[in-house]
Amino acid sequence: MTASDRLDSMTQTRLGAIIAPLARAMATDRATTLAAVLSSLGKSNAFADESLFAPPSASRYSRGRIWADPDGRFTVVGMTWLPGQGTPVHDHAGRWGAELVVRGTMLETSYRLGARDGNGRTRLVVQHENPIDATQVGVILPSVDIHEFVNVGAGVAHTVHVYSTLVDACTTFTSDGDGWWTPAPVALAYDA
Amino acid sequence: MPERHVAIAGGGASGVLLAHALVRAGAHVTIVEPRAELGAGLAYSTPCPLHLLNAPAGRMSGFADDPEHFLRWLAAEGEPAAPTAFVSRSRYGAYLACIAREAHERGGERFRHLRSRVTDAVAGPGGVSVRTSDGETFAADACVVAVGNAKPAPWPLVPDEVRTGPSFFESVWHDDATTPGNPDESVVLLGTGLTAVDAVLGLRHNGHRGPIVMVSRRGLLPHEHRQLDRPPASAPFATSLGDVIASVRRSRTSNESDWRTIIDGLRHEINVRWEALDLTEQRRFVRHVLPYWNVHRHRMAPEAAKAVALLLADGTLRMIAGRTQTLQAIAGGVRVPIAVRGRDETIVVDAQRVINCSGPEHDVSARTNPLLRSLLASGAMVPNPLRIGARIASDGALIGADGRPSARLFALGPVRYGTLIETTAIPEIREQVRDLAERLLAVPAAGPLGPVLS
Repeated sequence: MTASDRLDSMTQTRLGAIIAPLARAMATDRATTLAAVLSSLGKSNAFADESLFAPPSASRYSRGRIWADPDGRFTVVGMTWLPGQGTPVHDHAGRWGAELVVRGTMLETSYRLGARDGNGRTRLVVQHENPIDATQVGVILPSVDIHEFVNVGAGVAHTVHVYSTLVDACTTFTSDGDGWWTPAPVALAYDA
Repeated sequence: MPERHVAIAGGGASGVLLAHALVRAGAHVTIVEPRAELGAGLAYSTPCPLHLLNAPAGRMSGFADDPEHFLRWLAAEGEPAAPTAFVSRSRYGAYLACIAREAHERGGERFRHLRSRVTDAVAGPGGVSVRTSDGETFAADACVVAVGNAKPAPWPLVPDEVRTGPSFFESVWHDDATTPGNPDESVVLLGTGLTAVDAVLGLRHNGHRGPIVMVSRRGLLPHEHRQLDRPPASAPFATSLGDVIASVRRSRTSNESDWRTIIDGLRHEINVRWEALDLTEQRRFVRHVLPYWNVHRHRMAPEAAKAVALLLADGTLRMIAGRTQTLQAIAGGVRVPIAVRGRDETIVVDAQRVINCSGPEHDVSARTNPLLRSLLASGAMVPNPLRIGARIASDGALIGADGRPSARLFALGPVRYGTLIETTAIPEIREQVRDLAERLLAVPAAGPLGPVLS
C-alpha cells in the first residue's frame, strides 16, 4: 500500500501538485534541478500533511512509499525517525536523487571509499558532517552517495527522499572497529 | 640516421607528455616554458582542493598505451583511488610534474628545459629557427606549438573603467579573483560553465558566504557525471550530426540507457565525424549545437555538482539566463544589468566582485601569445575559417597561408580546435601525442647549413 492508497481525495489532489514538479525535475536528469525543486516544495510546506509519512516505530526508522512513478523513472519515499534513530552507513546502488528534511534536524555524515584489503573490506574516509534542518536538502550522487543519516533532534523527524528509478537494494557498511568496513548487500522494504 | 631535435613551445600537460614520448623514442627535446616546474600548466595549477578533475581517475592516464598508469601512480603515492573517483587537479599537476622529471632523467642530455617563452619559429628547408623571449635563438628539426588554453574570451559590454577597476577580474585564475574582500560580499560570475563552477567552489573554499549570481545567455549548467552501469555504447549509426543528436535525445527520453554512454561512446570518433562535415554544417553546429554538446560532454565531478546543487537549493547561488547589458562602475563595485532570456525583463545586480568565467578564447587571431602572433603575422599559421583554432593538417602540421602543410611546424591541443571538435581533454591529448611523436621522428633532418635565420 502506498501513501496514495491511504490518502483522501483532497490530499490526492495535493499529491499531484508535489509529483508533477518532481517529475519535471527528474526529466532534466540533473540533481542540481531536483534539489532546487525539492527545496522550494519544502519551503511551501508541500509535505506538511503527516499522513504522507509512515507511523513511527520503536525498533527502527520507518520507510513509506509516497509515490512510485508508473514508468519506473523515480520513487518518492517518506521516512519517519524517532529521536536518535538513523541508518547504517549505506550507498544508493548507483542511483541519484535528493532528500528533504520536512521537520526535525538530521545529521548527514558523508564518506568516500578509500583503500581496499584482500578480503573485500574497505576504508571509508569521512568527507563532511552536515546538519540538515527543516526545509533544507541533501543531494545523492554516485560516487559521493555513501552516507549515514541520523535524527539528532529532540522530536520526531520526517524526511522525503527522491530517487532515480526504484531503489530496492543497496550496500551497507559495518565498521569492524579497526578502521576497516565490511560491505553487505541489503534488500529494502517499505513499512507502509 | 641522426636523432631528431624537437623544440616544444609550452611545458603544460601536452608539452610534457610529448617530451616524454620523444625522449622515450630516442629524440632530443628542448621544452621552452617559463615556469620552473613543468607539467601543471594553467589547467592543473589550482591549489584549491575542491577543484577536481572533470573526468574520473580511470580515464586520466597520460599514456594512450597504458590506461592504468595514473591509477598505479596514485597507489604508489599512497593515495589509491577507485577508477570512478574524482581526484584533485593539484594531484594531477603533481603527476604531470613527475612525468616531466622522468622524461628529464631518461633523456639526460637529450632533454633540455629553457625557462623562457618561444616568441617565433621560422621553418626553412634546413630546419626550424626558434627564438625565445630571452633573445636566444636555437635550431631544431621541428617545432611544436603546445601553448595550451588561452585566457578567457573577453566579456562583451565591459567598459574600460569597469575592466580596469578593483572589482572586476578578467579571469578566475587571477591571483585574487576568488579571495573575497569580505565574506558576505555579492558576486556576479559571467558564465555558467565549468569555469564558473570552479569560481563558486574557489570562493566557498576561501570563506565566501555571500550571494552569487551566475549569468550566461542560455543559462546552461554542465551536466553531472554519473557512475555508468554499462560501458560506453558503440556510437549509433548515423550519417550526420543531426542523426547523432536525435539518438542522444531518444536515449534521454526512452530511459533504456543513460545518454552519457552514447556521448562517451562517441568520443573516439567524434572528430572523424566532425571532419566529414562541410564548412556550412560545421558553422551550424558551432552556432546552435556546441553549447549543448559541451554541457553534456564536459561534465561536473559529483562532488562539485553536489556543492552547486546545495547552493542553488538554499538560494545563495542564483542562475540567470540572459544577456548582460553594459556594466557600470558604482561605489564599491559594479552594477550588472541582465536582460532575461525570453522575457521582457531586466534584472539589476549590484556586486562587489565580478569575475569573467567565460571559456577560453578560441579565436587564435585574438590571442596574445607571442608565438601565435608571429606565426600568424608570417603566414605560417592561419585561423580556421570557423574562427576557432588554426588550420591544422590531420597529422598536426600547421597549414600556412599558402594552403600547404608545414614539414616542420606542428600543433598539439587547443590550437587544433576547429580542425577537431574535441582536443582539450587528456584522453584526446594523449592520442595526439602518440601519433605526433611518431610523425616527428620522420621529419627531414636539418640540412648541413642549419635553418635559415631571419
